[in-house]
Amino acid sequence: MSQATIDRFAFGAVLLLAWQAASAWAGPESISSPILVLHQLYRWLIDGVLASNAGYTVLAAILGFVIGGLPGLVLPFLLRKHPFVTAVIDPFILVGYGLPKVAFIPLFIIWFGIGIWSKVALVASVSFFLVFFSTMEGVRSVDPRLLRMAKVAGASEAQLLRTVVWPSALPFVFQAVQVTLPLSIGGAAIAELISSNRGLGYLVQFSAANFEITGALAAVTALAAIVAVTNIGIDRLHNRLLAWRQVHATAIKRGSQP
Amino acid sequence: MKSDGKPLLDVRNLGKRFHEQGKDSDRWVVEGMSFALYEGEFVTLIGPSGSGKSTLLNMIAQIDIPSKGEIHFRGDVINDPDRSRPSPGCDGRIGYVMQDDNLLPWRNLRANVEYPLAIQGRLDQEARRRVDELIEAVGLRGFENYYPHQLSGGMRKRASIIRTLAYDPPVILMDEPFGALDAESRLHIQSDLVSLWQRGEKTILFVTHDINEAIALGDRTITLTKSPASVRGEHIIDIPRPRALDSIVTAPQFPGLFSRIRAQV
Repeated sequence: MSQATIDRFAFGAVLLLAWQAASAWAGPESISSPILVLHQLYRWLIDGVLASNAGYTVLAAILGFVIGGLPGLVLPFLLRKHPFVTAVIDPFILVGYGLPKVAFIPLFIIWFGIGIWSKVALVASVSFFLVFFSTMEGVRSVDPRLLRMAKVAGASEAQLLRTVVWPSALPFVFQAVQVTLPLSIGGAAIAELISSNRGLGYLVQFSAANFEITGALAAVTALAAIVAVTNIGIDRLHNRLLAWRQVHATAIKRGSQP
Repeated sequence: MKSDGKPLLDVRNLGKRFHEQGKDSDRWVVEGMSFALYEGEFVTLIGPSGSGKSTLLNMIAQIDIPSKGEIHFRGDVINDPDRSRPSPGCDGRIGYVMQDDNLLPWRNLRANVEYPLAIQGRLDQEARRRVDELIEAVGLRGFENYYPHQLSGGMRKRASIIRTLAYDPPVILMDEPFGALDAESRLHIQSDLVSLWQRGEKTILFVTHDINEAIALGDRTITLTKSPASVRGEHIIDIPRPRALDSIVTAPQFPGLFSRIRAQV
């Protein structure tokens, strides 16, 4: 274990201790305590409440991420050879990006009902724009000299996309995933806060409405844990797929860059 | 000299104009350019900077379409102003080594050298063996699995040259490929290039702005005029091969060639 990891654990422990101390001082009914929260999470785990609600939120997040993110990922590659179309739709996408999607939650509920699809719609509307912009930037940043080299070597448009444009854009796509996936989970929970009868967001809302601080904090803790696990997963995938950059970064750190 | 018989590549009255921004007039970058390359020749092309040398190579490589004139390859027109869509590299017949090495950073050295072969669907057992040979010939053995950023500038340059040689195009264009290298690796890689050329019966058109390099490498040197570029003169480099590239200036023919070329650049 590295020194940084040990220090992080120590820092986390200090925060938890401070919280526990504050709870003992102010009374657990107003700010709860880490032990109470853990206890609550354990109870939810045993009776299946945690699994079913967390599963619901994660499902909404993943569905929305895929439904919104996939077109956001594919579109920039299709638009690459059509600068005119890109120029026409660019301002519309910019406006779409800027719109506060949360304001659409009531409309999504009217259109898609209070079930999972209104949450999916919110997550999809957030994911699309984030993934689109990042991927677009990646596609635009391809080195034209590499493209020229590949064309002279005889590459068709499909081969160019696969062997030059896609690998150049991949770091940008990853950045998009890194930002969007945690936001998707948060987005799904936010949609549940407003109207739902399931999900971690619903648990927060329901507990808070009954002044159960511990319950609300336990649901928030579960959300935080899911986001953390997701981030670790993305990091692992990142290191594997972009190994060539990893080596690059280490080389620079060592100062052995030619 | 192999100037008897039909030329391999024939550039006839070639011209290229670009629209000048903010003006109604067009500017000719290349105009009335005619010369021929014969099978197996190493021709160096020298001209003042900004004289449209890269534009010329881009037209031969079919990255650009000429505004007038024609380019013939083995008697067939491969590029003229009527071309609606250029096919860069002319179906693998014309290789192009550019100023930058343009290695793909996410592919290791070997995969970079194999790239054109893979794209053209020709990466078979024999092609792989050829790649091995070339890697060996330029002293890159043991570095096959290195990524471009882990290699020195000279090594990357070598890799980019053998990448083009590996798929065996009959004509190779080179646009000041050694400009960014230090003197030592430059000399090294020049002699590598000459030995690769001698075993492969390639035809090379090599653009440079260095008169010594033009004399050291070429069978023939073509000088260009200032913009718009056209052929100003041709000089047969009658220094016998093998040449000592590091002491080319001591060849008895050198002073005369140098001053004649110098006068035209």
